[in-house]
Parts: sequence; C-alpha cells; structure tokens
Amino acid sequence: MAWLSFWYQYLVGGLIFFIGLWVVFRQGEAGLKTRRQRRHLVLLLGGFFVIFGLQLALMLLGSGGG
Amino acid sequence: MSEGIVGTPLDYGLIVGYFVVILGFGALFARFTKSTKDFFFGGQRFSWWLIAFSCIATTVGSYSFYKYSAKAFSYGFSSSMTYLNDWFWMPLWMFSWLPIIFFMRITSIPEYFEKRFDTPARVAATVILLVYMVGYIGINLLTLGKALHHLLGWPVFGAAAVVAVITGVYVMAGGQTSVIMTDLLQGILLLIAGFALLFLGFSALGEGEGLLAGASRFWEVLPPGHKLPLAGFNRPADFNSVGIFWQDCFGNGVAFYFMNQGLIMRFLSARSVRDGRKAAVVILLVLMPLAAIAVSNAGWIGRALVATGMLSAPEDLDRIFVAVADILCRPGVFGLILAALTAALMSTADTLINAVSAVAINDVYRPYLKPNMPDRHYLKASRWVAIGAAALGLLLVPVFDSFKTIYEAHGTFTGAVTPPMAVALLLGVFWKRFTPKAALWTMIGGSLAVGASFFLPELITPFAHGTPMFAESDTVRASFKAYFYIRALYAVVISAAIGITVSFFTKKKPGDQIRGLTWDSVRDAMRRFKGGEPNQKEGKTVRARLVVAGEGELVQVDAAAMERMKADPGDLVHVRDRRWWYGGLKSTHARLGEPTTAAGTCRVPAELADLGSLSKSKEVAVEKII
Repeated sequence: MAWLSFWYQYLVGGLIFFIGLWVVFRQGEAGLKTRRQRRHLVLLLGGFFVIFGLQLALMLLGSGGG
Repeated sequence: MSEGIVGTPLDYGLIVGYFVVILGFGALFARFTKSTKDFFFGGQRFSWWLIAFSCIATTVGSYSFYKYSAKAFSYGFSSSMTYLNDWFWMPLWMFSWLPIIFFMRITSIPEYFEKRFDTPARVAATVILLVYMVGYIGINLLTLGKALHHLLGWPVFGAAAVVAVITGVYVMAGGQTSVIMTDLLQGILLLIAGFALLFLGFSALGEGEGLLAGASRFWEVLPPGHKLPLAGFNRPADFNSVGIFWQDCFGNGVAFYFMNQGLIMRFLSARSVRDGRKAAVVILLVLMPLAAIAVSNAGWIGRALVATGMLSAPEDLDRIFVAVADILCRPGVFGLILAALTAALMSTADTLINAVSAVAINDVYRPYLKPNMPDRHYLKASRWVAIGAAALGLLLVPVFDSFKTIYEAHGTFTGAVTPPMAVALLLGVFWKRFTPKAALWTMIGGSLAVGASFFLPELITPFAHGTPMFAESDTVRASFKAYFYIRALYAVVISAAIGITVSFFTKKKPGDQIRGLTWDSVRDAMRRFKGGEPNQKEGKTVRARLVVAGEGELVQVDAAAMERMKADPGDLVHVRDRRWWYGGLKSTHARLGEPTTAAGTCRVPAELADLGSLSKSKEVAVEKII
C-alpha cells in the first residue's frame, strides 16, 4: 500500500508536471537550443527529481525497516 | 503533563519582548510606504531571498506546529507530505501565471477575472476570495487563541483579540513592506526554533553520548511505518495519501499558489519575474523541506521519547508540541519556541489582512464606491480596511471554535470554498476557449455542488478511491464530516465539467481582448508592461556611482555599462543600493535613457531617487529587467 501511495502521487502529479513542461516548451521558455532554455529545463526537471529522489530514498529506507 | 501554565517568567518575558520588536519593526519600515503600490506590493522592488524567507513564514501557519506535530506523532515522516507536493505545479506557475500577473500589473485576483472574463465573474471571484481570506484570518486567530489558552490559561477570544490588535496595527502602519520585513524575521525564527527542538530531542535521546548517538537511537526506536514519507493509500479516513493528494496538492496547492491573494502579492513585490522564480525555487526545494522538519519534529521526537519511556503520550495529541517543548527546553529556550509559534501565527495573519485590504480597496472600494480619488485617499482607506479585516476575522473566532478541532474547521472551510474558483482560474489561463459565462457558472455551480455534498455525501463516493466515509473515531457521524479530504477531487471534477460544458454553448471572448492573459500570450504581456518590444538578451548587473540630478523619468549609465547589461535606451531597469542586505528596500524601477558621457556613474532624477529612498546611497547596482 505504501508503494501505491508513492506511484499514485508521481503518476498523477507527474502528469500535471509534464503537461506544464510541455506548455513551457511551447512558450519557448524551455528547450535545448539556447542557454536560457536549457537552464530552465534543468531547473524544472532538477526540482522534480530532487523531490522525487528525496521521497524515493525515504521509501526505500522506510520499507527496509531502517 | 499538567494542564496548567507551562514555562517560566523568563519565557513569557521573551514573548512580550518579541511582540515589542515586531511592532517596532513594523513601524520602522512604515516610512518606506508612500503609495498604495508600496502598501500592497512593497513597490515591486524586493530581492528573491527576502521574498523566499517571508513566504516561508506565511506558508507555515499558526496551526502548523500544532497540527503537524500531532500527525507526526501518530504517523511519522508522512506528516511532511503536504510540504513536498507543490513542485508539480511549478512549470505552469513559474512560466505562465507569474509572468501574466506581473507583466499585466494584476493587483488582485478578481481583477484578473474582470480582464480575462467580465464583471459578473469578477464579482463572484471577489465574494469567494473575501470569504476565503477573512475566514482564514479567523482560523489563524483562533489557533493562537487556543495556543495561549493552553499555555497561559487566557480565554481563547481574549488571546485572539490581543494578537488581532498587534497584527492589525503593524499592517496598518506599514503595509506590505512591514509584512515582508517582519515575516523575514519570523521565518528565520521559525526555522531556528524548529531545529533547536530537533537537536534538543536528539541530545535527550543520546543521554549524554552526543547528537549522533541520539539520532541513531531516534531512528532505531521509531516504528517502521513511521519512516515512510507517504501515508497509507486510502486508510485511515483521517490521514490517507490519496485524499491528501487531492485536497492538498490539487485543492490547497492551486488555491495557495494561483489564487491566494496574500502569496500573489508577495511575489508581485519581487523586483522582477526572475527574482520571483528564484524565490519559488528556494522556497520549494530548500525552505519547504526544512519547514516540514521544523513543524513536524516535535511529533517525531515525541514518539521516540514515548518509546524510550521519557515521556508519556498526552491524551490530546494537539498538545504534543507543547509537551515535547516543555520537557526538552530550558527556561529561555522554551520562550524562543513559543515566540516561534507566535511568529507562525502573526506572519500568516498579517499577509491575509494585507491581502483582504488589497481586494477590498482594488475590487470594491476603488471601482464601485469611490472612483477617481487621489492615491493618498486609497492609502488611508487601505489602512482602515486592514484594521477592519482583523476585527472581522476576530468576530469569526467563536464560529470556528464551535468545530471539534482546528484541523476540522480549517479543512472543512477551505475544502468547500476554494476548488470552484481554482478550476475557473486554471481554465481561464490555460484554455482560451473558456468563456466568461462558463467562468461564472464554474464558480456558482461548483460552489452549489460542494454545498450539496455536505448534505448528500454519497455524491462523493464515486471519487473516493475506497477511502472510508467517516473516521473510525468519529462518534458523531454527521454528513458534513464525511469524506474529509477527497471532497476536493469531487469539487474539481464537477466544477471542471460545468466549465467545459458551458464553454461549448456560450460565446468566447475575442482573442485580442484576452491577449497577455493566457499562457500562450505571455510575450504580449511583456510588451504591454514595457510599452515596447521586450529585450530578453542576457546581460550582467553593473555597479555605478549614484548621481542624483535633474528631472524626468529616465536614468542614464555610460555606454560600457549598457553594453555589459546588453541594454538599449528605453529598456526597463532596476536601480538599487548596491548593499545586498537591503534586499531592494532602497531601490526603484526606471526606464533607461541614452548613455551618459560620465563614466562609471548612474544618473537618477531627484524625484525617482526619493521615491526609491536612494537619495543617500553612494553606489548603486543597475540591472536590466526587460
């Protein structure tokens, strides 16, 4: 059940996030062409994976019983 | 733990001293408020770090220490999950919503509804927003009233009244500038006090062997389920992750970042969109995780202390924070912790009071009651409305006090009020086909549907994801207590369905009338803000010697500085005292003129320098904004 909580949050939340990222791409604010676009892309994806990694680490530590 | 007064005279002396410092701080920064723009938005001049720290004080409400400590004691690390689920919204918020409100100079959320839709939509949004914020003030005042009641035995209403007066007075005096500066102080205090408690807990658990030994013992004695970052999927009814995801991430998250007037005003006081984004990144990735630890750890430590026999579990879990603080802290430190609790309340309440004032003046008083008056008049009226908002919030304290717990009052209230407006706002920004009539009916129909669910909770069952209708501990199973969290999903789906359906049968607003107000027209908003083509070439911030001279609205730097900034005549720049610790307090926005021949100088007209409190500065930093 604990992993269901985790994957549900990142599937539904991830959907919101990646729709948002698509919007930012369409605006030309993120992408791979210019330094500014790459910086925004790294910032957004980096933020996502920092939170994801933090919660994943706690899931693994917690599931292992510490 | 006894129910009587806890702490020592030293602790209470510290709290009184803290109130005095806050009032003094508010008065000190009142002199920087010269217009309604200053009063509500602090003159749009502040650095990202000031915004970030003051936001964290706003985010951590008075109820946070109490509420999260109680959940942390019962469920462990999952108490932190509501602090870590906001990043999902950041692409949409940082690159669509923030630039729209900043560049379109949206002073209040209802104003956005007027521009994007029409006047009826604005009226509906104003009503919902004022109800939401005044109610929120009431809940915050109730919380501190209860906290002081637990600590000092003061009557709840009397304690709430004391805080209402103090908060109302410094908001009245200094508006947003005072709010930001006092919240900076309070945000830092919150984090220090929270972590002090954590380290004291480790120290106690280490029993003289040091912090590391204490941390190790803490991890050992914590029950396995308490180490998980998320609650069970749909059990128990009063703390499950699917319900909290929809209620907090989708309901409260959107309400907080997209339509909480207080937070919006805070970000609008940033000197640029870029600084607003920087503040958001620091808040969500650094300060929110720290705040989650600060507000929850009393519960985690309390659980470990109970497991080791150092503390007996209190019957009323809302008291766990005070119980742990009382057992761990020496006189003086306990006072610091209590001051942090007070800080959490005041910093949330002050933002809300200032926000109510902004909506009341900009959306009701200025357009409908007293149009075309001098700005001085509106500034004076804003100050009285701030006092009125605090008083109105105070009147609601007994109403919320009739709920079983603060958490219940808070959840029931926000869950019912915010989703329909949040859906209308999101559809307005991200779907151009969304019509004015659809926006109105999304808010009205959504609110009616939420109202109906209080009497017929079965309406929510198809959205419930298997969560129980009532908590097992709920002895009185009144229908309005059903599906505590997941009501938000029901409200979102029904509101969105109404909005989308009505849109297909009604006329959309012409594209040229909503330019700059939707995600795909942000560049139009920038063009309108600047009054010309935006210059987005990336340049450097330059330093120059300040020369205050002449009249007009143009500032000048030398050609080399313009080249380093990648700036052209006509670009908008931000001129600030170069000492970073002012955080933009001494600064102004201006338009760049032709380059000056005086190398290394920045020439600022006298009136502009005075407006930005720059007259006594020697050296300034000049940054191209757009």
